[in-house]
Amino acid sequence: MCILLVGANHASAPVDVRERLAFGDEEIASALNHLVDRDAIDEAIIVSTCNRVEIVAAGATGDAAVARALDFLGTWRRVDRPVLERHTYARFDDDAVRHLFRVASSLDSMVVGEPQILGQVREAYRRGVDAGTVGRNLSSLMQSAFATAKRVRTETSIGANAVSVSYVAVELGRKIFGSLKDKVVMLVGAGEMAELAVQHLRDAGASAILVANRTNERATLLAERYSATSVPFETFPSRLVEADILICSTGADHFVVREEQISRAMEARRNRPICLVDISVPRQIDPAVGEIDGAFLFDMDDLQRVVESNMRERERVARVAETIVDDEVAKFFLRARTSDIGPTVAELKERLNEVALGEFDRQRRRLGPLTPEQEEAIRTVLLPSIINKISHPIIAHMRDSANGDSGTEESVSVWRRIFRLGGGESN
Amino acid sequence: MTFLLTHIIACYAAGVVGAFASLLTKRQGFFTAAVVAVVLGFGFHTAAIVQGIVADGHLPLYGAQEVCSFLGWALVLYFLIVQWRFPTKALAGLLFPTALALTLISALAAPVDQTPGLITEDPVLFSIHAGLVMLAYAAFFTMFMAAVLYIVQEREIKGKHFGAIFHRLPSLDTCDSIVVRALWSGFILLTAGIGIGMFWSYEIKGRVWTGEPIELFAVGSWLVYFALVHFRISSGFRGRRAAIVAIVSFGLIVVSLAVLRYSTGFHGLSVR
Repeated sequence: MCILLVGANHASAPVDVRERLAFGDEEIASALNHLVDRDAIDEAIIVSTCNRVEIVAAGATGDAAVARALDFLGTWRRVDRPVLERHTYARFDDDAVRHLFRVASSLDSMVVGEPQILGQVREAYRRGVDAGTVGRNLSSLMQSAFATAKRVRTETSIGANAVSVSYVAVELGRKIFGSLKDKVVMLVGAGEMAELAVQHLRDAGASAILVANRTNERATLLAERYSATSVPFETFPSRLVEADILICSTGADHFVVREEQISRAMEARRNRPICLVDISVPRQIDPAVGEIDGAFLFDMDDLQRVVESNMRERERVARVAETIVDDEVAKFFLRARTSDIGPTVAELKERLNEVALGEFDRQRRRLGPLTPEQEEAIRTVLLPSIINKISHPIIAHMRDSANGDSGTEESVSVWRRIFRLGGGESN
Repeated sequence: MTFLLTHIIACYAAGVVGAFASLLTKRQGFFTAAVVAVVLGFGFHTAAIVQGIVADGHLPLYGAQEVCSFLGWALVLYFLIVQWRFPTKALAGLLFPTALALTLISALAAPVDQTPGLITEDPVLFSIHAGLVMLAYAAFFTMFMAAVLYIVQEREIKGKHFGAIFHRLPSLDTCDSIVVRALWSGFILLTAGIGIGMFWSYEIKGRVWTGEPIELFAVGSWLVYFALVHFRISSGFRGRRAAIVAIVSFGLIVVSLAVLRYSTGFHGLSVR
């Protein structure tokens, strides 16, 4: 059995190719049933997100399966073969498994460590199961992929730091206040990015939102959307005492928040810290505010620097995560090789049991009179015990070759031939 | 070196290695291992102190050997309390090496042969007085370290240095909360310790104040910490300036311990 992965991602294909390859939710089931021909490809799932389209499949041989997958992509998505060959990649066995584990662990994402991809891979798996195109091989592969992703999340801090400007306010707030629970956020000006930041702050536990905007409609709209309190723009300085986090994004061409306002507010706040985020260009919070003890001021450049620093931190953590992926790939193949001998072991025991019981029945008369209890003990205890003793070294040999470097299939097929099991006779 | 002492040192050393490894790699496993090692060491350390109490009939707080050992034990105790309420790995990076250093000093210091009659006459008062004061000193040391973390993190945030230190240090609020709680517990313990000391002095000499240098430093420290508590309550004295005062005032505690070490009078019996 060969594991195969064919697809395109943000690194291999430009967005216009990716959008042509992308699958809609409603067509996945029929596409999967079309793809799985039970000849070149036995099992398959399709992972389709805005940054990648990948077919993960199990098939008898690699080359035939790749050809089948590319034909399918070409016809189903109406993309020319040369375009496909230029922008897609194919991975087999070890490489395919490693690639899938890296994808699920968000190591192959455009933004390394982003949390959505695991959910998307889970969804792709669920659709495969619903469509009936997931069998034993893909099922165990996907379970291992999910376990790897979980290990990466828990053993490294890959997703710990913010990598979007709008989320940085949450991270900076946490570095100042610890928890954002019960913190009050004030918006001065209510642009789109301020709204995005508020959404993140609210999710992080901020309890109250005050909105001061020059146009009242926008303030009222935001107030309704986030159960915020609308504050007349002219009176916002008097409410600064309440705000733990202030996000400023008005369209003014002068400083809207001045040093003396914050100094006064700090006194009234009994020096409780305040975090000020200026996301407007030109800046609208006087930079001198940052000099006040307990006032922490960040502008757009600072937010961008946090994002860059966090990206570097994620790349560093990703190197640790790669070792976890390597470890899980090795474990997966070990498990796969060991579990492959299961059906042969069962057949072998059944065969030996047949022979033993047949011989017992044939020679029964020679054994003389036996009580029903004795006969029962021979059938249920003595014969199975002899079968176990005989089959044990054979099973141990199969397991050893499965755990070692030598091919399992070769070892299994030799034993199948010797004992004339199932397909072994025709070999 | 006794069986318990070697085990305490080995456990604390493992804790130091684990704490640094976790700070460098940010892997939770190292930190968990470090805490397990230190908890084990703390168990051995507690057993050693109980053994001292059984042998001497009072808290083992006579001589540099015993005082250092007790301070190391108290620091680990505070770390465990802080960790339970405010999980912070960076504090382990400062506290574990200090506890290890204190235990090593204790292992290398010469033991004292004979306990003075003053202690054996009233072992309970000695244990309470010396124990409370030393627990207070350890609390102020914890406060000092949390204040250092605060200052460093505040500089990182104000200076917009969003690098390795920024990512590894706890939030300002966490540092501040540890400072405040350590301040309160240290202040209450010091007040009680000095009070008991005065009572003991009155019992023996008929006066609460003998005018020894160590007494001056103890009362001086008490006044500084009282001022910190007072201004915190009355005018919200916090942030960078409060952290700086917390760091500087710890200097008084270090000097107090040094003065205690070389005292000759009434307190001359405390540390040799």
